[in-house]
Amino acid sequence: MKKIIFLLALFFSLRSSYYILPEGKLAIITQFGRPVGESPHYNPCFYLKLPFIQVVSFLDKRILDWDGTPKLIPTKENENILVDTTARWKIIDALKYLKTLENQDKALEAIERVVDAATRNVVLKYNRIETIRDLGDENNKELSDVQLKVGREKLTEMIFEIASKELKSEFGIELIDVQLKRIFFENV
Amino acid sequence: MNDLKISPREELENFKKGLKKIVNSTFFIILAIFASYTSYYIVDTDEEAVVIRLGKYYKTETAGLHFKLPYLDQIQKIKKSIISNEEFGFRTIMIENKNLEMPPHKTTEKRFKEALMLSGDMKIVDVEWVVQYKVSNPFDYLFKTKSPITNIRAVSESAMRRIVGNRSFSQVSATNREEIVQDVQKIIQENLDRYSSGVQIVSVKLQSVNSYFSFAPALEKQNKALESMKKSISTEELKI
Repeated sequence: MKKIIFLLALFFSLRSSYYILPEGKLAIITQFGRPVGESPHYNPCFYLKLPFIQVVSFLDKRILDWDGTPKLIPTKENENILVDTTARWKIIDALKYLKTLENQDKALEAIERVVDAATRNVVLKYNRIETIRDLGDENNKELSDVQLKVGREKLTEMIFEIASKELKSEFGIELIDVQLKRIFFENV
Repeated sequence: MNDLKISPREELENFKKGLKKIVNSTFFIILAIFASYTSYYIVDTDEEAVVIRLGKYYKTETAGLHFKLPYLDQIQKIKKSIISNEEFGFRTIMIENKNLEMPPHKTTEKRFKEALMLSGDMKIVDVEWVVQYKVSNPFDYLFKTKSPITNIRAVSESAMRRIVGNRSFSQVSATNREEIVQDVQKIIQENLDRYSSGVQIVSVKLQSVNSYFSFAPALEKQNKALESMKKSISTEELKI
């Protein structure tokens, strides 16, 4: 009986003294709730840790998605348009991310807040046509009626720059890109 | 006769020894069988297998019989040569014809949110298209992005809208179809490469381009026809 207890104890302490960090994930080691050592680890590998005292938790290192809900935004000529955006993002500063957001649902809420605000601020300043058409199609004779200032691609870039700066400094999130998915009239 | 006079206690001892031997040997046999079962894997011709050793990427194997270290290696298989479709603006659905013993037939269902977009001259265009893709890098496909298909969908919608937005309605509907398709495919591929999602866009196909208002009554007609057909099927079912 003693032998069995000893073997079980040995097994569990051995099992608790290492962990495998798989591809696509990152690991944070905490000791009594406090992150320790060189954690977070980003390289997939076999790692040792102190049994029982140190606890390992994993986060997704891959590129994740965010899909926004369509928002009604007034343009410069004061016409409402429906704007639907999506974004790709990933965690680059795991400690900051955990401190400020706790989990992925909170992260998605934060992205929604930041990207929607940036989209609104940018779209407000321009005419509706700028969200539809790209700059640099001047040689297209059928579309020479309106002169564009920035165009769709540049507009997306502006939204991306505002949003990515804020997400990086506040939440440890790297925004990969923002895409204007659907732009449409409000009444259809 | 003496041989037969074994005391019950001795008999029990012998029995215990024998049992121990049997248990020991079966234990090792089971272990051996288990180890050999977990030390090989088969990859089909349309697949590629990503080998993960102790959490880290080790290699990618093609079709055939392969060996692995039990417990240390993990295998994830991906159907690499299969071309998949993503439909935009419509979905193909199957309608079953149970009582007539006919094969189920395909029909399409409109998705207006995806199909309707604005052309550069602010007309509403109804576009249906299909994006065909396959996995080009199984490791990237598995471990670089969380949901490659969601990315394909988002990027495709955005790309088509951008290209249609850069053209007038007449340019989209009549001419330049080949050019539109090429431009859209290029934009999707560029974006997916930026995410290193391990996906290759095989082709983009424009199914239909219509002006929305000319299309709306036709759709209504089609919906009505579909409904009456469903009704007739169900009444026939009742008769039988």
